[in-house]
Amino acid sequence: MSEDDPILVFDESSKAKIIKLLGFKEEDSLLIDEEGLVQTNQQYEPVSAKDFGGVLKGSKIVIKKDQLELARYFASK
Amino acid sequence: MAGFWDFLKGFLPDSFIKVINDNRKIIVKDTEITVGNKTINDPETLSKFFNAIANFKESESFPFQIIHQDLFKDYVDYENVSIQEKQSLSLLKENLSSEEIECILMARRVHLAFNKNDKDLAKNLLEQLEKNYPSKGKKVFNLIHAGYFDELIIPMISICKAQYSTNSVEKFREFYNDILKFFPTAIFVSNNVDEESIKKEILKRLRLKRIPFIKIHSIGQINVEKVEKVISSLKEEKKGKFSITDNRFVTPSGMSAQVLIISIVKNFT
Repeated sequence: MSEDDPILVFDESSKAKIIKLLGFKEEDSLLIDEEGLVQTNQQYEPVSAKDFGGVLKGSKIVIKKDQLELARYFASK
Repeated sequence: MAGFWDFLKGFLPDSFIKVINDNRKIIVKDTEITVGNKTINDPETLSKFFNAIANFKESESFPFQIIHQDLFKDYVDYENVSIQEKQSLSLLKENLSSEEIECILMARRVHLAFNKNDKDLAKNLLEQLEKNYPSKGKKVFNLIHAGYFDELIIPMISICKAQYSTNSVEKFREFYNDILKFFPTAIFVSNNVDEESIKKEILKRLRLKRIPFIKIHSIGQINVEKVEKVISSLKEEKKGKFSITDNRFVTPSGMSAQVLIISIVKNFT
């Protein structure tokens, strides 16, 4: 972990593009990958496109747009 | 970091990469990428950039973070807390569950916001902390904010290790949970605590054998006045049983604050 690591940031206007680039699509409002698996956060909760907050490096953890997800991420590092 | 530069190498202009060195936030939009005051909107470069991101969809790991704009400040703050508190967090992680660490990180962040005098953010974060951890979030914050976490709780890890070689983690967890349930030497007065409850908490502690002192922490004029009234009434009722040291100060955000120390002269039965 370095405080200098660059971070790619997207907003609501570019969220759909980022989701597509990451190989996800929306099905029944949930994010699914190319194998049809529903994407989950660290707590194994399904993540919807609406709640999508990004993907964290390392093991590609999908997060919801909620600061608690970041607390969990840093707690697990 | 190397992974990220490998990702960028070859398709972003050197001048742009130089700007990234000073600005870690790379804003990605459908038709442009912006870093600091530099923007790229050349379709060919953008296409290479987006293809490079897409190439990672098959891989097991990412060389960078991709996060929503609304989480950027949160991310940087948590990262700062993690870096500043690296040593203590490392000790705590060896001894507490992930859920406890999450709660401590969030509470540390509230503390950071208060220290930076960012009142609105601190208030908002404290509300979220209480919402996520209704039974202990505020208590953990109070312990951190009053300095007890660093002065008492973290040193207790070493004490448990020295005393209990085989089950030190279990013993520290017991100690930590007990502290969250009831903290004998401190009372934190918040806006939703009335005078009767403060008095009840003081009396509960005054009955504890060998308790040397009780520190009553209050922030805000209303809370300080509540403590004044309670102490005034207790002085009459328990004359000669304790002495008072009244420390008044103003918080960085300009609020009246008090740490009132009740030093026990004689235990009550």
